[in-house]
Amino acid sequence: MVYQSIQREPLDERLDRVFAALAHPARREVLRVAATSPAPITMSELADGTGMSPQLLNKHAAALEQAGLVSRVARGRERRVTVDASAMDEALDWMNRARAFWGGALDSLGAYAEALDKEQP
Amino acid sequence: MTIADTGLTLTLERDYRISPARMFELWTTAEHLAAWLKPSIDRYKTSTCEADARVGGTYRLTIPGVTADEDDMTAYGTYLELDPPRLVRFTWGWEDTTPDSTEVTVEISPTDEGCHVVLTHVRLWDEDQRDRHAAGWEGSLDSLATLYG
Repeated sequence: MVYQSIQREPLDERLDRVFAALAHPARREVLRVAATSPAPITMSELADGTGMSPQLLNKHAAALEQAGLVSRVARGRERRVTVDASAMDEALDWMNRARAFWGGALDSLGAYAEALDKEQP
Repeated sequence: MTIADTGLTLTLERDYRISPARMFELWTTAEHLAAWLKPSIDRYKTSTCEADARVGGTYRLTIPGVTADEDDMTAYGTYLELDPPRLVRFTWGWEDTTPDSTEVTVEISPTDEGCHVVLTHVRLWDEDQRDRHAAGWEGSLDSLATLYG
């Protein structure tokens, strides 16, 4: 009901990594292309899809992987990228709790303002 | 709820029938904050609040748990910007977590009936992000939201 994380560890740190990873347009693009692929996408397909150099893609994919948003698995000669929705879910969850708290608070503010108004017309 | 419309920033808007000056007061006075800043005005007991509403000043707001087995929650933060009656910006965090990990901006604009409030809550992680945010960073996560929203 109220958005409060009881402990800083480890959810908050995970959240920080996810939000930090998503704070870059190129990384969001990598994630978007990977997430919309019907099957685990290869790094070279991902480079084509995003128009990034393999070096740059590698850098961004590593950041996404560190945040737990994707995992890269070697299959034969190619590495394939799988998107992990659970890390994203935690970020969405944080936002939903924040929304519930502030939504409630802004409603409380309205009720309070009206009560004040009646006291002092 | 999607993060597409917010670019990792939570934004809420409401209209109120009080003046912007009055609204600004409700956001910056301890007595008022203790009375209203809680998820429900009916279910919660009276909070305790200290607020030093000037840039660099801090506030501390303790919202008592609704039931006996529910812990009190204490929000704590620092005022970053005050521009009466149109803007209040402060860090926001719960005690025992990093107090400055998130930031709230309250923008107040006049309307015919009173005022319009836009609340923006952003989760910060480092200076790098803060700079990008300040530079007007806004992301579109439409496709992701479709998948996960």
